[in-house]
Amino acid sequence: MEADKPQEKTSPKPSVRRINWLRLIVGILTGSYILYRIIIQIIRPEYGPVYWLGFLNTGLIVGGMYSLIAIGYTLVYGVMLLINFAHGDIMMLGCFAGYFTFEYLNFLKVGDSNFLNTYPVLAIILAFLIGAAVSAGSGYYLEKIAYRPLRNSPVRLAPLISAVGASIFLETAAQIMFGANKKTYKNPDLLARGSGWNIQMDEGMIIITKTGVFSLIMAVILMVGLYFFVQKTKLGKSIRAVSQDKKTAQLMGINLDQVTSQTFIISGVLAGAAGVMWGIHNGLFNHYVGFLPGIKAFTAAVLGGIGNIPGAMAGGMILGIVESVGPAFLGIDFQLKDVIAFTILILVLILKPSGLLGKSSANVEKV
Amino acid sequence: MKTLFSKSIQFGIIAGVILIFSELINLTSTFAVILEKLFNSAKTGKTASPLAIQILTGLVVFFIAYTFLRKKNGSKSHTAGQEIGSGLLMGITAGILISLLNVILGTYLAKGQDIRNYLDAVSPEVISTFLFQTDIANAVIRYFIATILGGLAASLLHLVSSKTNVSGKISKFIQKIVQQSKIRIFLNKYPYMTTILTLLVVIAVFLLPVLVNAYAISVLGIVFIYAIMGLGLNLIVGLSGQLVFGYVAFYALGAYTFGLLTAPKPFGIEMNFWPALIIAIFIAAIGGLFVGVPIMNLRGDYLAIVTLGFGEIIRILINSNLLADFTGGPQGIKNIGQPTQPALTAKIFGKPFDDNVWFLYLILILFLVVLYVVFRLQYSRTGRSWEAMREDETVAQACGVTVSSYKVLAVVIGAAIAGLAGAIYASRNTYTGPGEYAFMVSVNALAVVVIGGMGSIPGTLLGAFIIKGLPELLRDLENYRMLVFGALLIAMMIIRPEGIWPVKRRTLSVTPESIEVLKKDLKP
Repeated sequence: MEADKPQEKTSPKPSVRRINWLRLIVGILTGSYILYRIIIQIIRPEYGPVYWLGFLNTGLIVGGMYSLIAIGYTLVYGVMLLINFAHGDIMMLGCFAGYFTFEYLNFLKVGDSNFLNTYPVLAIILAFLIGAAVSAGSGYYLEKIAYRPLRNSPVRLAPLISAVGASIFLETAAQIMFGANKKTYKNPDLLARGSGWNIQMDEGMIIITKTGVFSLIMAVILMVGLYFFVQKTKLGKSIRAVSQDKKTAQLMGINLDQVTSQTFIISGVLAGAAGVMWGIHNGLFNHYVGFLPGIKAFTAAVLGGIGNIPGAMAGGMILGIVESVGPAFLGIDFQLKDVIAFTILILVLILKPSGLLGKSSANVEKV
Repeated sequence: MKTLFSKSIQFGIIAGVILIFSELINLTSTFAVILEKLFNSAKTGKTASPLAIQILTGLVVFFIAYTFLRKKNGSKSHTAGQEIGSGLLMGITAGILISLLNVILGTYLAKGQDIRNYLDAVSPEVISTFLFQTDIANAVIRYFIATILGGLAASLLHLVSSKTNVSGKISKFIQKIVQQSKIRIFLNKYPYMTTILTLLVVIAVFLLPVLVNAYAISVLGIVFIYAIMGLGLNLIVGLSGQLVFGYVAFYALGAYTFGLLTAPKPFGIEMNFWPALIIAIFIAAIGGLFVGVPIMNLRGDYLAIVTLGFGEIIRILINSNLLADFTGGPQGIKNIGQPTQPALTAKIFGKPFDDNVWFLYLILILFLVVLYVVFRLQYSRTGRSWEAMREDETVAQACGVTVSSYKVLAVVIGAAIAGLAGAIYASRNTYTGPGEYAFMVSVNALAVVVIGGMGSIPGTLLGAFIIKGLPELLRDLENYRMLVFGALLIAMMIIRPEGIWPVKRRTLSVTPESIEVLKKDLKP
């Protein structure tokens, strides 16, 4: 989904040589440090294989959620060339919607028990549907209110600033309305947090939680579904067409407004699902829940090559795994796992700005 | 006809949703209390009177309905009956929505259930305030009266103004006044008057610290610190057109460097104010270089996210155990040094200033220095290159502007100014901790620049007063400050992207006279 128009390719800039040096130095330094850590880990292993598998497990689960959010960034970026800064907050709204659904179903009496534990599957499906619907709706209106009037704005930074405004607005509104204290998701007993399968190994055991497995499967299903949706359906084709070339797509009879709205709805659905998953798996959440996942998912989108859907999926997974394996691998405090994600962002932008799967660097270097 | 009514129902729903939203976050009653205090100084307590809430409810409907009617009437005009019907419909729709909410909340109140677990702002007292301390049916009737009156008033006003074209006349009148204002003519006639006026303002500002009380001094201090930050960010965002979200990172770098150099713990260097300040600026600039170099060949959006990430890295690092020996971790650094007053001031003014007054003077002086630097930069070759880059990077490059290095230069200078602001802030509080460098500081700085006017120096000062000064005056609205900022950022971008005090663009135009001059010049 690159917007590479041949006439916009720039000639080599005078500073290209210097940047290459920078790239070389940073690349060599990073590479040798990672190599050094690998050797250290082989010679003097601090953690046994059980721990590594445990980290991998955590990383995969978080990575699935990052991927879902990152797809939203990538889709919107492809269509509007805009970093939808409020995307994390759309996920937060989905998280709240799922929470309220579970709470309501918990109060709803069916026979002796409540709805939540009598029909757990139905309850989970309902939570996902409502979470996705709320996020999709807020994404739709967000685009209509905050982004559409600015599409042809003379100020280039206007949409981005508007996006920041929307993010702050949503976050503060949720804080005032629902309170700043952390809330706990009330899962049905079927998906109780902490319960799962223990796999015994030589040195210890790995706990594979039910919520984690469920989240990962759900994320993979959604991603596969989205991939086929974008590749096969008419709407998917028009989204790809718009992200390749807006003007030509319009000439081919594609309604730009409609496609943009629908893109926001799709990315909202994915973000909402990710929000509900986040709540089911992690339990604790508040109005701030979307901020860090949002930025990290953006990192994932950049890592995979922004505008590239498979790239976003891969980027999210890689980021999730690196983030959970990283602190142990690098021998640093687990407090600093967020630093790893942002360092990756900076490193990617230095070493390969087009991302892992991005084909040309023209689209990132261009205005 | 049909579209008019369906559209009015749509706008009625919008008004209703706004009303519901502001009730759920308890904005309506807070605002009502402020209004009452404005008109009635004897008013005490925090409970809004029913009348004020009703008036506010009506006003919301009124504004939405009036906007709708004015927008619609541009294409084709409707009869008086249609207009009134449309206003009525909007009022009824909004009334149904807001009454529905109050009926639901009222039922919960009657049952004695506390729903604050789910909706934090809606306490039983708030619900009874919104029910006007009466029963549900009574309250519903009052809400309907308010909304319907609001809708009707809007349609009547629109009818009157469209028949007599009052609003058009008024706006023309205002335009006329602004265009022919005596001050502008006066200033154009005597250019040196501008200088004198500026001098007067500067003198007034310098007299301020002596005249106002301690509370105002502390507010002014924070306003001017934000103004300094705004000037730095303005350089990056307004002049060079790059967006920086993590501006707080440089601010924190400056503050922590200054703190570490002057505090007795953990290093015990206890350096003097000025050298520590310069080192803090230098370190912040290096931080800017660190962020600027990776993105020098990328588009501006990346800078936004990279700096945001950098800001988070800095915040996590100063809060972490890893650097706790240096930064004090969550405890922060205490007893940061303050500048000593030179003996000269005591000699001139008879007695030394109070510490806070002296510090405000220091902030003012540093602000003026930064102002001078930024002003000179803006009208230098560098500033013009930045502006060219902001308008179009490709064209700027074609004209010989090395875009990548100018981009880095902008970030570095902006970061240095933020470092200065951070150092002053740390010194003023004699304390710095990780809690003070949240993302919201960056948002405030960005709001200062955007609201004042991107690229405009006086706009930045105005923005600092609005962002940091106004909330101090409206203490009751403290909780809603960020909410308003968010909405304001969106609204400014849509309605007035150039800001409240936009920068005057220098233009070259060919007038008939200049063509004559040109012809004369070209004659052999």
